[in-house]
Amino acid sequence: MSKNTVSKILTLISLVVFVLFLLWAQQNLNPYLRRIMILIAINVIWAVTFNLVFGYTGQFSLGHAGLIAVGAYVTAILTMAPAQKEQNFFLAPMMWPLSQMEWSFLPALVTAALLTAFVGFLVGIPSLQFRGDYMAIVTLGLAEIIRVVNMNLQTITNGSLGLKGIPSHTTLLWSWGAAVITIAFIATLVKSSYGRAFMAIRDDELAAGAMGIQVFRHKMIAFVIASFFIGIGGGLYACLLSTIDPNVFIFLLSYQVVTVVVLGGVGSITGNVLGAAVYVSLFELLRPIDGPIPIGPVTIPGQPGMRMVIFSIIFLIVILFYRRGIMGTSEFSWNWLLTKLGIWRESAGVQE
Amino acid sequence: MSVLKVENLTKQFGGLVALSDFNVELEEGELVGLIGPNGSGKTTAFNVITGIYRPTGGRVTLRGKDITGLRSDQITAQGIARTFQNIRLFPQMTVLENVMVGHHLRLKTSPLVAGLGLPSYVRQERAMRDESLELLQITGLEDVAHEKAGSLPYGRQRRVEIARALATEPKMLLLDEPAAGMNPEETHGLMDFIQQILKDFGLTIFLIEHQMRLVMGICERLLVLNYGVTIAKGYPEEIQNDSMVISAYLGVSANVNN
Repeated sequence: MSKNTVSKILTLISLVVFVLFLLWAQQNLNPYLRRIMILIAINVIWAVTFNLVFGYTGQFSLGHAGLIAVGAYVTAILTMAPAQKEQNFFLAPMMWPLSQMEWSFLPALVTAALLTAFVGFLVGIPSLQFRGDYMAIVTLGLAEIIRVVNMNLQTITNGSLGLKGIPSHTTLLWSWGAAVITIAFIATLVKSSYGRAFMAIRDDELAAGAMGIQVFRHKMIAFVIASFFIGIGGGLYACLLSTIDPNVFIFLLSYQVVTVVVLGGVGSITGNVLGAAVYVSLFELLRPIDGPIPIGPVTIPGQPGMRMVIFSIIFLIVILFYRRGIMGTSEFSWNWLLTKLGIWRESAGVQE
Repeated sequence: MSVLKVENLTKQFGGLVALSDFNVELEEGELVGLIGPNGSGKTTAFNVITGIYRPTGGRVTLRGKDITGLRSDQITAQGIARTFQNIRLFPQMTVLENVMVGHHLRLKTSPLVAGLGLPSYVRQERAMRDESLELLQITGLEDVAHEKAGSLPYGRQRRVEIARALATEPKMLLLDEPAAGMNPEETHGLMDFIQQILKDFGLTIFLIEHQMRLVMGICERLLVLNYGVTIAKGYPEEIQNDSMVISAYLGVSANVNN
């Protein structure tokens, strides 16, 4: 049996084991741990999409928060019960067809993803004309515009009052299922000819153009595909929080995505997963620091936000020692693992 | 019919005329050289022809089709490929991947099909890979197919760049100083290589070069630029004895005491 086949079988086995674990966890794990695992999955989705746009295509976008908001709001509006909507919209009644809609989760999520992809397309038209930092500024601005629009569309989004009582559809299986699909699709895409075209644009836009690659079109392809999955992440997020308002989606959320990706390694999908896991669990593990800490006879009074300080220090240390994130640009492979474990012998630099 | 026809091509940067009224016509299978001192507008001429700059005036036609002012990727799709003066490979990718990038514009599939890894895409990927490997074999690069392009010695990087350009299946190849930074032995190898691909791929080649040995050795006709103006055209022997050319290169008037 070739190493390739063995790898495929191992991937299949681990996926089955993972699904069984999720089914078990859904029943037996306490809600707090389940929530953390779901948050990791959602962050994985966002990180992988950012990686597609920045790590592979080289376009620095800070627009995640805006696109997440689109996915979250669309899903929330489509899935909430009419009675719940009526309760929420006490300042002004909700716009008519929306107020009567109550879709099930999957069609709502898909619609949200498609709409987010469309908004991503609109955001991409102006912002992908710019390079580097300029693109970051333009996308940051556009995300802010989306937030302000959400704030003012009283009859659709309920403005700054937000939406409460969004059905809690997001389970472990939904979130991790979406994460696995996102990873599988984007990993396959970046390994394809399109992925090489993206990387060519990242490395040398001028040369990519001279090789016949339609630069703007390919940047747009990456951005729209990323937006689609960002929307899924947003929808899952809304149905996890069950309460959203425009200020959930401020620019800090975009920075969080950047942090996860930098922590894990720009250009590595394995790194994205690790980064999301480390980021979310570290944030939870550091939670006690926000409260009062007794050290012998003295007690340091609780200071909300203290864990941000500690987190930043840990983040700095990681970046000092792993300048390119935990994984750099390397990816996990069965070949690597089994060679490390001494089960397979090193193959002499030949692919596959 | 001529393959490439350039009429009165002009490029101005503000008040600076980098190229003025540039005219050239290349017949099928020809190898024409473009020479001139530094800053004389040779690379500008290439950049305007290949769509990296938009021309201020003039017309470029490829096999009778007007391609003036198109984007560089559209021009490549029409059949003009090029290399750069300062090598512009994708250094992080392997040699094979670099060449496969050149094949991307011929890909007939959507990103959706590629992302789902459907059989119709997998077939194309395999075909693309085989063609690229074949191209590497023809260009004598098969031994470094899986090496990072950036890690190769200079002379071989040049070859990879030419192979990558060939992967776009061009009718016409523009080479910008292919022998820059090469020693005499490498230059000699390159001369043979250029003549070989000219025949094997049925190309027409337009080439900028500083090294007289290479230019005089392989080009059938030459054009000389100075300050953006074409000062001489003709066969290598004529050019060598042209007084305007000599003065442009040596910076003295050829008829000092007349």
